[in-house]
Amino acid sequence: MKISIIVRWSLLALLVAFIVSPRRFAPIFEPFTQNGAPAIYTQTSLLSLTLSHLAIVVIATTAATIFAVGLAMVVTRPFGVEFLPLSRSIANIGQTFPPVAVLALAVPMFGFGPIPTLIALFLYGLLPIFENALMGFSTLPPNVTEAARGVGMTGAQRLAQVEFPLAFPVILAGIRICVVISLATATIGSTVAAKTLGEVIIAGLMSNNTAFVLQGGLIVGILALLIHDGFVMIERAMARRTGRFHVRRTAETDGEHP
Amino acid sequence: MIEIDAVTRLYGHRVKAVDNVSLTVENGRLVVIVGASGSGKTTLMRMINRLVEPSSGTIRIDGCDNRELPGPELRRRIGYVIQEHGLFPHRTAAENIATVPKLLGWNRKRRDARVDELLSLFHLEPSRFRDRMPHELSGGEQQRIGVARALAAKPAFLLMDEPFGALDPSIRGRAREDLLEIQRRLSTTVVLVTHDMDEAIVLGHKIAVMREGRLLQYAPPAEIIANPAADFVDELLGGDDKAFRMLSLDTVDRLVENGPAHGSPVSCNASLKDVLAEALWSGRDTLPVEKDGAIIGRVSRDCLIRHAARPAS
Repeated sequence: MKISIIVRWSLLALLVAFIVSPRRFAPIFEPFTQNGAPAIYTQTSLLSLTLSHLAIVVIATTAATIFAVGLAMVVTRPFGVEFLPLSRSIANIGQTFPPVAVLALAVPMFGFGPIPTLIALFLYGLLPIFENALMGFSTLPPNVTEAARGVGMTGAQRLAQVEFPLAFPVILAGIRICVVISLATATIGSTVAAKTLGEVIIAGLMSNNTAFVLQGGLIVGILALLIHDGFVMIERAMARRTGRFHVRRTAETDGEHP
Repeated sequence: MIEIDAVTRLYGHRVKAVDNVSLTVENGRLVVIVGASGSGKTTLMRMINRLVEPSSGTIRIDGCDNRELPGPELRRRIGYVIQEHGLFPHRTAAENIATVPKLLGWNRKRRDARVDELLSLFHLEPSRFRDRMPHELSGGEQQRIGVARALAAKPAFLLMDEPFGALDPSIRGRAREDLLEIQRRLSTTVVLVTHDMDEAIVLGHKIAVMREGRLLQYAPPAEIIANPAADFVDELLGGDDKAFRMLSLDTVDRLVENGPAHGSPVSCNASLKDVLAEALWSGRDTLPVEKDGAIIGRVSRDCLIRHAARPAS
């Protein structure tokens, strides 16, 4: 456990150092260049590309989360059950429609820039969040939801005070999946002039410069890894608090505490 | 007073979960509804706080139709103890207990005071238990927190759905005694559902026996044992050991007479059944009875045996 934490922090430190002053790392990337091409991408600063990349992912994921969780809440209420099949298909279509195709369709409508990418990521992220939220809301322990009703909570109070907090760790797992997918997928946004780390990768592909492809890919990959880990840690902490990891233990020691 | 008046609950169009049941629960009494699973006992209880709405009939609580208030408001006035305790796993013991007071808008200070009062009432030291999460509690502690939560806003009525079902048999007896003690002290009106006739006899001032949605008999335990209204009630009682069940209903302090006796004394709060067992086992004709450490008289084996006989009806 200790070692893995050290590894994560060093990885984060390395990533920040590279993004802030990439030139210092030039010797590492030089072997991947040919004919004296530059080892480090300098057209745009890596820092601003990274921040813009993250911003696009955060905005798209937040929108997808609000929409998908809201939808899951509605279809798990008594009045919304009828909409369950419809909303499932919406989320599924969002997932099956390739993001590249979304870009191609969105550009004529919204022009070049970040908006087509935001739309593509939003649609692509709906399904994992929706499915997880749906699972979170529909697998709540029945005696707990019954207790919430029995103590006299209204529908809204049950949702806010019991159902949402209990479903949250599962919802968070969906958001985590969505963020990781979006971090990778956002790179294609650079083909339609969104400012993302895809720019570095595409520049590398166009000029046949492996060093660019490598540094663009590495930043995205390490970001995804660290963010994924961060989410997992939060999920674990919450699960520990509500005792999900302790179910077996309490079942065994079902007597008085010493 | 809870008056259940000709209440029927249909599931679908034909299946009657509860079929034209009428019964009255007097204030300050503990009534046990007993029956097998599917007998409609839980449905009947859940109609009192309107977790289930009756298909026909009315339920009056202290004279008012229970449909006069919106469901959530009604339920905040009636304590509810659910099967398997149903504690909110993301809230501490104190937050669980304070649920209804918080819904009713009590301020922080009043809630905290009430939580500590209830924890003490259930023999849980507030400083140790206040901030525990439910999964850090034993089954018995969870059960007590569940009852404390139900009692938090001082309801006059308490509904309990198999409250001891999830407990180890070894601590179930103690939990029942605690409930009786608290019921006596607070004189809360309790309706408790169980499938266990023994539990019903130990706890109930009156017992309602249900089968297939119908109320077969509603009477004090002694009468249920002496005159079961139907073969099914007889069956639930287990047939053979009615004499001992009868003895288990009374405590020995009623039968104390003057006179000497030898050997170790029995407590005046012991049940006749336990005292007779002791008399038989130790081979004594009479046993001394003590109260608060002092001998207050004796009880004879013959007298105990006479009490085991079926009462004349």
